[in-house]
Amino acid sequence: MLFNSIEFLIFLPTILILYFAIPSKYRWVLLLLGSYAFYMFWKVEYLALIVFSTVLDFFLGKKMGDLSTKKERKPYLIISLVLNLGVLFTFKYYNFFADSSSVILDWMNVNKTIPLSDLLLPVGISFYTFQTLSYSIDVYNNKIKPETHLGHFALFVSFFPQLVAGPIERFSSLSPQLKAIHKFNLEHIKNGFRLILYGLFIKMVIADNLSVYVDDVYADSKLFSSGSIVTSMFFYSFQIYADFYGYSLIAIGTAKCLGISLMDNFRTPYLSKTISEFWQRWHISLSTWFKDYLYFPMGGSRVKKTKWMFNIFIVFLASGIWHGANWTFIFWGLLYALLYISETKLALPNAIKTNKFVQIILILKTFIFVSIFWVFFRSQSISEAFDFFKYMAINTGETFKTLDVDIFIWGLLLFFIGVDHFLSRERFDVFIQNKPFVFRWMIYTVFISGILIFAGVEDYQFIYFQF
Amino acid sequence: MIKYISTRIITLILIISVTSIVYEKYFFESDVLKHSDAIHLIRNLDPNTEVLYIGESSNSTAHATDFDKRKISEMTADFYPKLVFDDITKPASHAGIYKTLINKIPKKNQIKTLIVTLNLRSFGWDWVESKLETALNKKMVLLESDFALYNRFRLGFKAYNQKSEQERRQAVLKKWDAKLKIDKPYNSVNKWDKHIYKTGVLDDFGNRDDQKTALTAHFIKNYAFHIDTNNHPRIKDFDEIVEIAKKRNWNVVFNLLAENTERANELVGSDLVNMMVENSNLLKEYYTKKGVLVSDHLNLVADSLYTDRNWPTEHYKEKGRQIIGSHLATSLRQIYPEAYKHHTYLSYDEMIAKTNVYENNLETVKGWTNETRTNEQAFSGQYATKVNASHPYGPTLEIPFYKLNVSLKKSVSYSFKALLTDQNKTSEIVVELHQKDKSVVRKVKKLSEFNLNNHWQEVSHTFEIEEQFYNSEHFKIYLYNPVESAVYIDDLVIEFGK
Repeated sequence: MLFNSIEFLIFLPTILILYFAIPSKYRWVLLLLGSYAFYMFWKVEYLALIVFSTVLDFFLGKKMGDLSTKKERKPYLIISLVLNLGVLFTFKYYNFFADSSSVILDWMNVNKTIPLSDLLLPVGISFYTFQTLSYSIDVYNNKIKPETHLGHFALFVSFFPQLVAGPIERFSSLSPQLKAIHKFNLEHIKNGFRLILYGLFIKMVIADNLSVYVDDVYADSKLFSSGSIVTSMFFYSFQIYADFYGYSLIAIGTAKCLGISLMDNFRTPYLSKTISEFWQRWHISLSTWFKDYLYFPMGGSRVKKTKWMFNIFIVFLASGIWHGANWTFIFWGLLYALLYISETKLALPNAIKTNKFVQIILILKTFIFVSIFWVFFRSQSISEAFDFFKYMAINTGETFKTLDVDIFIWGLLLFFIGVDHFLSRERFDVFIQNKPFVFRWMIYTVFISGILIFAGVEDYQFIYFQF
Repeated sequence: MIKYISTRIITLILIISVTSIVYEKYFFESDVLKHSDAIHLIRNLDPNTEVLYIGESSNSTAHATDFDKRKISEMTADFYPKLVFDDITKPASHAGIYKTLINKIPKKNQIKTLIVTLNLRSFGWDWVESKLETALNKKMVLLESDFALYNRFRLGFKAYNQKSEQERRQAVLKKWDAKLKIDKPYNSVNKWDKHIYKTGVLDDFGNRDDQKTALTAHFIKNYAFHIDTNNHPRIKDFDEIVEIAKKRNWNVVFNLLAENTERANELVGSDLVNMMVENSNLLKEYYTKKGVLVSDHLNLVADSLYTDRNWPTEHYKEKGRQIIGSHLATSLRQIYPEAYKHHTYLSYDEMIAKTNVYENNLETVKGWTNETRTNEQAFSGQYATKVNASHPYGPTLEIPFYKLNVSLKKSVSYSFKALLTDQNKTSEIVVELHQKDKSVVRKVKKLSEFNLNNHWQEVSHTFEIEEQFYNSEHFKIYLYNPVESAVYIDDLVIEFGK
């Protein structure tokens, strides 16, 4: 089920009413059934994968909890890693592997093609796999006690607000909240709906309207003028941000209505002065996952320079692969690794960094690099991305198509940039909650009318659903 | 608490009501033009239309070598000179789309008879779950007869038949698992398809012919099904069309299109052809019982008269369209016995012998390929043609040049009225002379040489044709404008041998 669908507009109030109407001890059942129903709207069969992950990690976790040493627990962790990542590989990476292998075999003049699979990529598989993996690793490291109730654990894996595109939560943070008794709290519901409204607005009005222009150029960049290609590149930066941030806000808002706090996933990332800062502000739940479960176990920065550089490469490589089964994502991750290392090596002295003008330049620099890297993320192949840059450089003259961007779209974009900057210190729900009634409802009117009249009409789901 | 909630609900209702008024007044029309351009098909209908033909690309698709490139509907109209015919032709559409469009026809109209294309292939699951479906359905949302803001809300929240290409593919594969009533081990489309790929279709020398094998599989995938009149979505849509027509007191005629049964028989055999015949008989019987006049053309068009060779379609060459047009006209005699007038279509040679001057005022389209007709501007009448990056080729006259009288071959003059929205150096008048060896001789005249501006002005140019090209197979003349700024042209006259 999509958040920006009529089904969800019916589903959420129904769940909320039932949630607060039934006794607390049965709420986990409602949320679990609701979460499974939410997922089954997309594809019934693939619920089996979630159930498989759930049962697997529940029993492996339980087993690990019975064992006292890491050595004893290790085989069970390995089973969890192999099976979870095996499922992920089969459904997400197999075709990429088969395709790439066939190309390599072709180079080697071996006349053999590895058959492709026609399995659909299960929505959100990378998200819930990483969530369950974090549980297994935490149990292995004795950081948490294993869950003893299969139903509660199943809810932790499948909690619908964050099931298909995060935020990727930790067991220690989410599970106690799912078990806690939440009394009806009007403030939570109001704040939840405020976040949902703002999330829907930036997804449906900002992201979906920008997507039209972006898709147009990316479909065949050779036809467009340099200026149009540059415009589409920057538009995509805002599209993906509004799309994913919008999704995260709706997820956080939905959970909030139920009295559950999910972690923030974004903090005005385009105001970052360095790439390192950008990754502390962009998709925070994934960045922290990689930091905690990959970067630190490899030694983090407390190792030799060369080993540290290697660690950085591995983390960004893994981040690229996590995003998608395509060389473009791998290249995208490696570009970040290169820039991250370069920036650390070439860091400016603190005295200069505090200068306001320098800060603006640094923000612009980071934004431009991030936007350039998004081209690889958005393109279907690396050669398509390089062509995009090639045409950006050479497509001058009147024979090329120009993006006819409506003045209204520029207005929307400026509005979004302004509001996002304004909300850099406090989230929308916090900002609005103490404002006078009339002011609040004026803002709501802008968002509600905006969604009703100006919502984009492209057949776009959330960009991060594909991961 | 009750006061708290009721204040919010009332405020919300007020916001939505005001938004609805504002939307309908200021934004709806531009949204319809932007997201549901099919509305033009309704708005452009002749208000005096008595017979309305509704169909997909089968109505308008012509072959490059056709001289008479008119639609089936226009060819049918040849037999009823006193009746006003018009058509709604929307490529890739089907009953579900026709239904919405028919509903948008204003209550006040002169229509007496509705001819609806009944395309057997559109019942196949490959078409029901076609990747074009999502886009087609999306374009219909704003045309539904609900509140404007509610339709816009549905559009924004994707509340229409919206699925990804992958999901549609999976749905088709599932449908193709259904058991077929044939006494063969491959008794489902999927099994049949696999069998064909495994065994392959052989060419005349006994070797596997991959192209033929693929075409055979296409035929199976497109026609191997059994229609269940209780559950098939197309039946539901056609039933609704019949209901709408009844409510409006229109006669309903279903034009059961010709399918390439000859090729199906040659490639696949009688199992498939029998299925096609059974399905078409079922449709004929089902709708005849509902009071619909079904004009059956299933087997009327020979394989050689289909334009597409690598895919089963209902795209016919000139002769094929004439066969269907005249047969449909004969069926219509049951409704209009008095208005029918015998008509004979002219051959190529007869047409060419008849005239050396070809005119197109864009008010009606006769024999010229044209996707650029617009009512945004016009020198005379209501329509002109708009040529720009979206549609860079203007109306194109094509004729088999070698058939022209020698005295007419020495030159061709092209005159028209033109209006430029902006100066550009790239638009040009193009003459193409296609040679027997497939090479093409091009002659061009840049519009920038005429000092045109944003007022209607006369443009006239004569191209001399050298004697060595008199044997050219094919002749084309058109305006080409690949840039964004539009060129409008109207009242075109092309004269040979001037």
